[in-house]
Amino acid sequence: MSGKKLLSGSADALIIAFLLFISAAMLIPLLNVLCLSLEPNYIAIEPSRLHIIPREITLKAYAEIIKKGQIIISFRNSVFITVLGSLSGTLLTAMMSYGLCDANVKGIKFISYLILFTMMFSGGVIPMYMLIKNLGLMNNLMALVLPSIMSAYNVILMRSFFKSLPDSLSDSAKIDGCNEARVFWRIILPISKPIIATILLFYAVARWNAYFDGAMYITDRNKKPMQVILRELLILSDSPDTSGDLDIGMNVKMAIAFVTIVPILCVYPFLQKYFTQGILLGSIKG
Amino acid sequence: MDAKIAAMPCEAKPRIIPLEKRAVAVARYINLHKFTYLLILPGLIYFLIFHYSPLYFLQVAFKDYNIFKGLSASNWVGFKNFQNLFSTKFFMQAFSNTVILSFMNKLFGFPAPIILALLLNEVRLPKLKKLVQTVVYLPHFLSWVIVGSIFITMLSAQGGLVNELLGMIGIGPISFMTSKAWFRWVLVFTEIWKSCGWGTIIYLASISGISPELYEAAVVDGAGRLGKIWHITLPCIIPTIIVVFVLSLAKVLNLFDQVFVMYNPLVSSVSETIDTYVYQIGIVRADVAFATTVGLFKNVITVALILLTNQAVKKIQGETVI
Repeated sequence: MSGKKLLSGSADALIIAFLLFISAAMLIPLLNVLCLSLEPNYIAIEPSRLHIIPREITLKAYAEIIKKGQIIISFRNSVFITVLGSLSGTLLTAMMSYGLCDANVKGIKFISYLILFTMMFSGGVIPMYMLIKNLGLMNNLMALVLPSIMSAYNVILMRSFFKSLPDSLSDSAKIDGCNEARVFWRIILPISKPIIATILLFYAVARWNAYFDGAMYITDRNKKPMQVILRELLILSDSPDTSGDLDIGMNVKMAIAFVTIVPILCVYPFLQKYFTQGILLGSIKG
Repeated sequence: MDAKIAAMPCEAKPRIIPLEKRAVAVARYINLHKFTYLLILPGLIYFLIFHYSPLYFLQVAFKDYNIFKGLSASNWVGFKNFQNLFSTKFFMQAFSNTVILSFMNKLFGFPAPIILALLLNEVRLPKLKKLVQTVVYLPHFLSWVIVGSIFITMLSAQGGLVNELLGMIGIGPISFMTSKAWFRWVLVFTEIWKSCGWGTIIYLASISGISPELYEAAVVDGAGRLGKIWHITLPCIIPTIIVVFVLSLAKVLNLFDQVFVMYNPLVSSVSETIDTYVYQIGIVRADVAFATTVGLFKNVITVALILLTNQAVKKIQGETVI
């Protein structure tokens, strides 16, 4: 018996060691970024050093960012896109998902298939580009909000959550004299907080991190979202053919990268309990 | 179908309803369910505009379209654009890169979250489990631009963290980002790094739904720890694994952001994917007809992949995913 316990104990130790190793592999790149951003540039570019714990700390790089107007403008654009896109997207998704639960109403099944189909097949990049052009949305921030305001996947996730709610809930409210709209706004939505928080998080992260739309539809520098500007500053400035104004130090680059991670690091722990719960609930029937 | 109608018990006699009355009936029906329809309407309009109306422009793939001619002035050319695909060297290169990268991503990236979820499930210290979960979910929230720039810095041959570590044991330096032999592995590794932790959520949810009685029964039968994983946990989450696999196929050929931010001319021959190729010829070089054809080709293959896999699942499992 004790031998078996010992074996099990060492297996535990092995698993924990492995998981800690994985966690380290996830964290070290971020520590590397933080360390490089805090070091003066001459140390940051010094080879033969592991930049994990800074040898000298200065906030110069962070001060440098504030001077770069382009970053502030693109940051503001991204905040606008993220807030508008995720709030309206979540509302539309909640409305549609709740409506789609009522499969007995004529046409609902057909619409569900219509939405399911978009998960498999799309026109592709170029037809979408032609549509945006024809709608006159080129160089308009709405081109970064509207085309991906909601996703079929999230509609289905939310619908399976609503379906898992007991019918008695809305039935008893109706007996109490609530009409359908009241049931939806006052009863269904308030108890759906975990799934709403989850979907809101999905949309917000997707908007905040979106790169492709910005690269496709925006050429006006003052309307570019943050990820597009970030790529220019962080990655393109490495290639030799770019002009001098992109030439920034390693520490400033890493400071920029770290600043864009911070908002996510701040919100994330508070939302974590919601999204695990939300996916759990949404996946029961889906 | 006929049999069903014949089997219907009541009102088998065909009745002719006047059009007006029918319109009233429809209006009454809509009015009765107006709340449901109103809820769906905005979303429906969105899907029709942004997911269905672009399909109209797919006709470009069958025309000799260019931007100066306009859509109606272009002539139909049948499948000529598709024939050109296979004689275009760069398309074939992008196609094979996409297939190779997708295959590598699935082969190594698909089992990774399953294994990680099984290991996390074995941790008996709740606080430690929570901590590891918090850490491994994190990379999912970073954009490819950030992840790309972090790894470009870390993998740099001049003072990058990885090469410094390799140097300590006498290897390298290896220029990962510009080496044709290494670059695909960089893409696969960073993909796993970014998405593997997030992928565990769905499996952990599925594992937490397994009835404890099954484990108790397995213990009575003398199953050890590995036995429980192999005979209880894994079989119980197989339906989830299959659903995740089939749904993930919809995105398996989508390789844009990651490749686009990380590749460079030195490694484009091993990493130019269909998506980056469409961008290069359609947006940068404005050969719209050919780019649309390439995109359509990719999407048709994706649908075929999903449907074939779905059929295969039906044969094995007896029920379909979609």
